[in-house]
Amino acid sequence: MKKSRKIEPYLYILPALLYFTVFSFYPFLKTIGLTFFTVNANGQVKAFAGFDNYIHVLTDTAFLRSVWNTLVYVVLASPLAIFIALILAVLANKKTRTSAVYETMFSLTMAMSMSVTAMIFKIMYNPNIGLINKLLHVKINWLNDPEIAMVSVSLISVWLNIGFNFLFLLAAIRGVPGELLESANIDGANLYQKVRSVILPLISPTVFFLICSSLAKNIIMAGLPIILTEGGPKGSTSTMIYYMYKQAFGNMSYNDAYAAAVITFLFTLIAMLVSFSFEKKGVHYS
Amino acid sequence: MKKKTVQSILYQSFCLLIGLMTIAPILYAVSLSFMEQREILTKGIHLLPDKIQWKNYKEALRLTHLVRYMLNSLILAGGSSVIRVAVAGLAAFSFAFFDFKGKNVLFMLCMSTMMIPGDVVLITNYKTVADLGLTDTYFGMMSMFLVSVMNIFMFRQYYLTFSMEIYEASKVDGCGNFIFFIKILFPLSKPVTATVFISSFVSTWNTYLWPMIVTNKDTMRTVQVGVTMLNSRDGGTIYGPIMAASVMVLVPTVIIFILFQKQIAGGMMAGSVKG
Repeated sequence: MKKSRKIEPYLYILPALLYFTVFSFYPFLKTIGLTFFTVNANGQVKAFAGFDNYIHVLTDTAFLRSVWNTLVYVVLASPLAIFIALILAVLANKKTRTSAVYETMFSLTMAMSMSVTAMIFKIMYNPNIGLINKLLHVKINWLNDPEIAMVSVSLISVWLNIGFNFLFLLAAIRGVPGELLESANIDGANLYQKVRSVILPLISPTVFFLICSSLAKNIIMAGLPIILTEGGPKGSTSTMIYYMYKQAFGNMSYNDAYAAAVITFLFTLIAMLVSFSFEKKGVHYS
Repeated sequence: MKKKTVQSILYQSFCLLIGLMTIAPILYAVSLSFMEQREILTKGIHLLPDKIQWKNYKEALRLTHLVRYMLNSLILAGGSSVIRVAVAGLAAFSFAFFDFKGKNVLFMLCMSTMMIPGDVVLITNYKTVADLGLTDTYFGMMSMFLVSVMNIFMFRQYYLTFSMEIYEASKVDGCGNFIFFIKILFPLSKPVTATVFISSFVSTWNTYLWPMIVTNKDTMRTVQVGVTMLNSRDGGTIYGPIMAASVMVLVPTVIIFILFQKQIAGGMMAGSVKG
């Protein structure tokens, strides 16, 4: 490849770069910039505000509640979805005559959309006619009890993410050299020991990738509260991006919305950095 | 030997059972979509409909513009996926086949968009689209899904394995770069194109938040938004039609997923490999 001074290679990248500039870099910088100004209900800049918008949002109990809810959601949903997928991947590891069938079943939630899934779980969660209460012989108000509504929402997301996690973990487990498992067998290791000391260390890069991607995805979740609960009852299912959405499109309070957006971004950034520091300690690349 | 076969059958049955449990919500939705209202409202556990009847489907189609929503979703998902393939393919061609000043910087710049979650810039993007008068238009709906850096990355990884000899030979034959891309590289890269197209089709078809925000007119709604609107219409009492509509919305992606699992999974893995 010779260094070409021609304009040609730039032309091919131009559409993508233009797009990123208009819909990614520009809105990102503009959102950050606007957090330091007061903005009226039409979105016009009125005056310089310093950190007032941040202070306002960070002293708003509704936002603090949303931060807490988001953390509860992330801490519940991300690991549980990976853990269940890991069990399924261990199950599906051995190839059998019907493995194509159950592999498809284990990964099928990947094809499901959040809105349709929300509609299905809404019926299953129904306190009177819902299948879940009937099967468990309980009378729990899954989505209308402030104490457990966020847990109920998290469980929907766990189900939705099983398929994605499963596909990655299955590929990783199938990549574990057979001899290693054989020698573990000879040493008389049981399944738990094999997973714990042979499989898990070898697939940790994949687990690490899944933790990062599900943290990033879950911190910005807003669809389920919008569809199912409108953040309620009593603000118990309002997430950070839901708060942003409601302030912007419900209350026309762009000051709060922009500040909430930037704070949410900082959370995703922190989550990434924490994941990376964890990577140094726990992940083995062979 | 015989003991092993029995064991294997037991193991497979167990896995299939777990598989059925995993997809139980989908199966239950299908079952509910065929039930009469009284069967759904019954006190006891009622898993299967007494008989298959299509009343709920007819009702769902009568209550909503579901066919129109389907068309809207098809245009949104199909249109943005075609543009994604074209823009990403072209950018990846440049990154893989040319050497030019600032190449690495530009590539890192593209990759850095992964750090900016779309939902964080949602409001500003909504303002942009609204200022351009693009709300309630297909282009406005597509605008958020036209380019993905992951797709550029996937194309680039694939193109990097392409034989340089063919490229050099075509140059000697007087074939221009763009003609090489259109006539040779692109047609010979069908697997990666299929992966990018199918995975972006499924994800755009399933997307909810952005199409909901940029559309107000009922006739411009996508299926994902439309299906949740059915919910609020009668205070959520018409469970049968809601499930029928949900099933009609999920069937296309489930079928695409089952048919093209290999491409979708392969694409995801390719995207996750750090380059």
